Amino acid sequence: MQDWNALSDEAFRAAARQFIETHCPAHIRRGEEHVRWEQSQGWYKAMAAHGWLAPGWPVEHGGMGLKQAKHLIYLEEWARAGISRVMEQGVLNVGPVLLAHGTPEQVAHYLPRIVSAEHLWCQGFSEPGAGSDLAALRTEARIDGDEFIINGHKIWTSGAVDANHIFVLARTDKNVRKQAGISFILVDMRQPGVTVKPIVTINGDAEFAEVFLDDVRAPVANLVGGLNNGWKVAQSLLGFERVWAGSPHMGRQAMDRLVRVARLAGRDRDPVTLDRIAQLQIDLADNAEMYERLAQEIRAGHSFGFEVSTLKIVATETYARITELTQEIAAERGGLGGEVPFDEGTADLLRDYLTARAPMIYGGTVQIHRNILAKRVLGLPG
Amino acid sequence: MSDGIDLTELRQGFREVLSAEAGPERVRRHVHEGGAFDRDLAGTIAGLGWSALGVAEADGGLGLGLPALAVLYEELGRGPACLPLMTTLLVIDALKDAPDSVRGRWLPPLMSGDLFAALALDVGLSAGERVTGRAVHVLHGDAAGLFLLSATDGRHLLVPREAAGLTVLPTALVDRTRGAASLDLSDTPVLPVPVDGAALRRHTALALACDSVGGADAILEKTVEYLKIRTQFGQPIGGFQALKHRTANHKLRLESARALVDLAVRGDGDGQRVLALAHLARAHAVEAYVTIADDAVQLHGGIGFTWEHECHHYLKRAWLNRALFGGEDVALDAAAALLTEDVA
Ligand SMILES: Cc1cc2nc3c(=O)[nH]c(=O)nc-3n(C[C@H](O)[C@H](O)[C@H](O)COP(=O)(O)OP(=O)(O)OC[C@H]3O[C@@H](n4cnc5c(N)ncnc54)[C@H](O)[C@@H]3O)c2cc1C
Repeated sequence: MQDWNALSDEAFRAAARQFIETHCPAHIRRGEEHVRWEQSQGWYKAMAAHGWLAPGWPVEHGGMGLKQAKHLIYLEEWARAGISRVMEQGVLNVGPVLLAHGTPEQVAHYLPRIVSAEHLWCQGFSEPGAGSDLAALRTEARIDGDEFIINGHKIWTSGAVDANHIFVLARTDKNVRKQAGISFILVDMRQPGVTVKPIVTINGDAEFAEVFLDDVRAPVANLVGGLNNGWKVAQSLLGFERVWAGSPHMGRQAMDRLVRVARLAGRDRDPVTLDRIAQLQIDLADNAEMYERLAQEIRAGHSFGFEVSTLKIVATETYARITELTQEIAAERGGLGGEVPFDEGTADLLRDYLTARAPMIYGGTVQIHRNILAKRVLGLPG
Repeated sequence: MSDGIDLTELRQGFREVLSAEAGPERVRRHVHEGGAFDRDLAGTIAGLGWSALGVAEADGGLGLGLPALAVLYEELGRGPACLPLMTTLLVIDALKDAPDSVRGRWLPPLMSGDLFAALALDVGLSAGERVTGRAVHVLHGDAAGLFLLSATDGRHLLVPREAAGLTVLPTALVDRTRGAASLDLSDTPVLPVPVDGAALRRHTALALACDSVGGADAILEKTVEYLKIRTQFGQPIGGFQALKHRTANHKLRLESARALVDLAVRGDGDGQRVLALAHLARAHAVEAYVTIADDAVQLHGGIGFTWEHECHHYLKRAWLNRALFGGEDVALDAAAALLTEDVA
């Protein structure tokens, strides 16, 4: 068995790149955030077959036992290749959360089914009344014998139209501080009472959905991390996601396109445009450096704290501003809808721009991350 | 003249009609069905004489000037209205110096709302009475029955849609509240008309500026309303100082843009300066519009990222305003050139 962690970062990167080049089909390498399962399942299964689906998982569960730092390299290569996210909740969140907080039975039951693509997961946290204020969630889980009976309404659930499982945060105690009465529960969506209503995004895609839960059942054995302990479980899961959300990969891709559009629009000699591009390049370099430092900390085995919020803000806002300048200097082309001629192919610049708005909203808005920064890092009152 | 008319009443009138006939629900449905221009709405509006606003009384119009037209552009932007009126009004105004025969032929159907017109600036065309060339991304070209082409050689040419050798190909825009088309002319007969090119450019820039102010105003108002009713952490989110300051800054942006647009509409001073001012007003207003509409998405959170919500109608219209007629940089370059000439 190959010891991937023993490879140098460069050797590992080369291996990851080679795997991608050999197995990843072109139609999910267009840099779109999400693609539907019908298009992506071939790639998902190819990754699983070669052990590259869940590299961060232990070898005995079908992973490579990769340390986080190496896993990040793999994700960087994904980003470089423009690969879309493909039903990643099971791999990125459910697996790690069960390994950290799950029972041996949960691990044995769920992990293989993620690898085999039998279970496709989505994340049911947000609700109509609980977005930034997630702890205000009202979905309720009541215990009835050895089952939970769950009622509530989740919203903005990415991938819910293709998923067959959802992990939800639900209220299991109403008489305590709101964070203290929440539980983390694994729910099979293939049962009466689960209704998925797609929501069309600003880009015209049915990427997320509302999920209505009416007397939905889940065995009490599907509780993760103990009753009323769901808030802590959810926090732990967001850590890795935030590191990744803070990486400069989206910004880098957008920068490549910006430079090409500048050339195409004949603006690559215009000093004003060049100054603005240079400024964004500096911001992107800052982002890369901040990210690298955190990655080094992780490599050295140190834990990280709320500073990760700074990364998330810098990465998402830099990315957003790059797409904005691209759209701006595209001039008249920037007004054309859909795929327009671009270099040797076509591009949809407005889609890029709109797609770049989402990371400033999901996973905690940039305003909420500023609040965290002010309170937890700077120690300001509030 | 406009001195005689109460602009506030005029605005009220436009707004009442548009909110009754073209409210958010209607715009949403129209955009959802593919967009471009709303034929039924155009039919409803036809009898109201909006297109006749700027036409001289002698020609059967209301004889109102730019300040009144500015109000209409702003209200159409607020809607945002899915109507091909902006370019129709621009072409009508451009034809004021045309011979009687031309005005007599084209103004009546344009005024009655039976016909719409589109306008293309800086079109490269062959010389002669029959021309060959191409005009791309012509705003409202999809709806127009008459085109005014401002050629790079300084000529202004009228071309009816049925002209021989003219092919009109609808183009998809980022903004589905409006439509556009590309025009291919192949040995097409054209009618030269005398047009004050600088005045046409100024009017075009001002129309875009007003549309932008109207749109920015509407989406800011809707966003502020949302901040008052959306609660998180047990209070309306508008109570969080971070959001108060953001929206206060947007209001500052909007009002300073509006001030410049008003000044440019009044247009006192010599021609060069007035044209430069119009270009600046356009750039300033579009910048405010894009910034405010963009942040409206952020301030709405998840709901702002949906097709169902109207945020994106404004955001996409703002971006199209930035891209139209050569784009904002062309406007800024033109303004800079005019202003530095002034200094020299
Ligand atoms: C593309 C996309 C995918 C998503 N996928 C998922 C998913 O798979 N699963 C899931 O559970 N959720 C998902 N979400 C939901 C996302 O996490 C929420 O949209 C986000 O947390 C914001 O909540 P909200 O939409 O209710 O906005 P609100 O919380 O209502 O926020 C509205 C505005 O108020 C601001 N605000 C709120 N509170 C404060 C404060 N205290 N101080 C300053 N400003 C404040 C916000 O920053 C925002 O600008 C997704 C969202 C998007 C856009």
